[in-house]
Amino acid sequence: MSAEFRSTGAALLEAHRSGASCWPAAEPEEGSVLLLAAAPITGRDRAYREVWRSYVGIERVRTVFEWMSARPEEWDLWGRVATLFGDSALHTIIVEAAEREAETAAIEAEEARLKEEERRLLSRKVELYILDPKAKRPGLSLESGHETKPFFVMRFSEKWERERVLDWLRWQKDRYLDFRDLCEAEGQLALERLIIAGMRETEAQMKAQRRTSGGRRPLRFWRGEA
Amino acid sequence: MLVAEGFTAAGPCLGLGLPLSLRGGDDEALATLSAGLGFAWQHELRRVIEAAIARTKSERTPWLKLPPLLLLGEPGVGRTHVARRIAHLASLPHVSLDFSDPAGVQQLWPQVCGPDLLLPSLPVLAMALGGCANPIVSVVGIECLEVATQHRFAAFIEPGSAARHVDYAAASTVDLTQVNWMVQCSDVSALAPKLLQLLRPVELHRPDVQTLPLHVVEVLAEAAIDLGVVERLQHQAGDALADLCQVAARRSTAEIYEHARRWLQTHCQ
Repeated sequence: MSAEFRSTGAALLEAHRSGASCWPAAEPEEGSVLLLAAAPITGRDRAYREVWRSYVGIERVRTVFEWMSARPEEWDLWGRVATLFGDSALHTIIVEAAEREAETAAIEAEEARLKEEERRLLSRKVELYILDPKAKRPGLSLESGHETKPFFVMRFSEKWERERVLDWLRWQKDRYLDFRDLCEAEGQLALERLIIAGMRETEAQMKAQRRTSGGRRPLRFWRGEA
Repeated sequence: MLVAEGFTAAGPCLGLGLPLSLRGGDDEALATLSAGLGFAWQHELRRVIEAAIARTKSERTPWLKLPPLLLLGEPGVGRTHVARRIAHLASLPHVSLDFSDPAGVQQLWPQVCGPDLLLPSLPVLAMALGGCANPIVSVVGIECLEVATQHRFAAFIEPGSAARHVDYAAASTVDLTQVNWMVQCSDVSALAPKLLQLLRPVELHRPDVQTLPLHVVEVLAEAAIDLGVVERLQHQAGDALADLCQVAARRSTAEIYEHARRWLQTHCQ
């Protein structure tokens, strides 16, 4: 909504008239909102007349004026309401409604902010899940706190294979956010390769230090230490 | 203005022998009518009223004289509403003459029937009781009159005969030339040519979706004025408008008016 200033002693902020016979205006310094109508008298500085004026305070004048300006389809009706029922009727319709809407908008904005904050906090949490569905292959997944579906799923033919990976992966919590970034950037396969490579590297290191257990799960008793 | 000349020794009855006021033409009344007219979507009506206002100003006549109007439009478009709003704004008395009811004909041409009292015709009564020489008279159901009866009715409007209307009940000759006639009609072909040529046609239209709230607010104002609750409505006008706008689509003006009355009676009385 474009607006213009017109000098009438106090700065007068007017909404773009767009052909309506009435249009809103405001005196920000005075804290008043107005409804103006084209005056039949021409050749004067003020080629309009005040249909309605209401003092709303300097701090609220912009809010009410913008609310009025955003409803050009209502301007002529407001002009008639002011003419037929007086200033108080229009005050109820405009000022109280604008303030109600501003309050609602503020509440909604705060709710949205809190929701986004919660989402932001949850997004920093990544959990490791063990998948043991009936009659299906065992697996593991990584899931962000703000999502309902895992961003990474890894399936295995046998449970011991999954346990072997878990022996390493459950000690990589600090890297889960990096894992998610990699998965989003390069896909699940890249993350799967990273996990397998990391596991094998650690197994090799632990084996060299003779700290592995025997059997199919070399890192079974490993606790993430270097 | 002296409107009646008695033809009995007692003179005109009902105070018709005294000067009656001619209203609606002073600066304040014209400003009220001009600023308060509304009906933004009734372009033809606005043109006619604005022309009458301009003529009143230029001729410096301190009363409002509209040409005899033929308000055309489908039933429910708001013809009586228009007449009543103009009457209110110009501070003129308003009466309705309904020819679709057999009693309407009796109101214009009263007849002696046994012990029934002979009353003056409706325009004369409006002048006498309103104390005003230029009331607004709405005429409804003109299509129900036969051509010959329409010709008789035309005599009330035609300036020559209207200036010397003989009213036996008032025992006087009454000047009806300043009466503001608003004849409602939905089928112009049913009008007698003689009557038609005396009237200034004004086509009235139903409001569209955009102008419906403007129509509703006018009807609400009419109902509030009728019930005397304009002051009490001030803080509830928004609620009343919202309620009426929900039911107003595809409803006649009379139905919207009735709904408005019920709402006001519930919330403001």
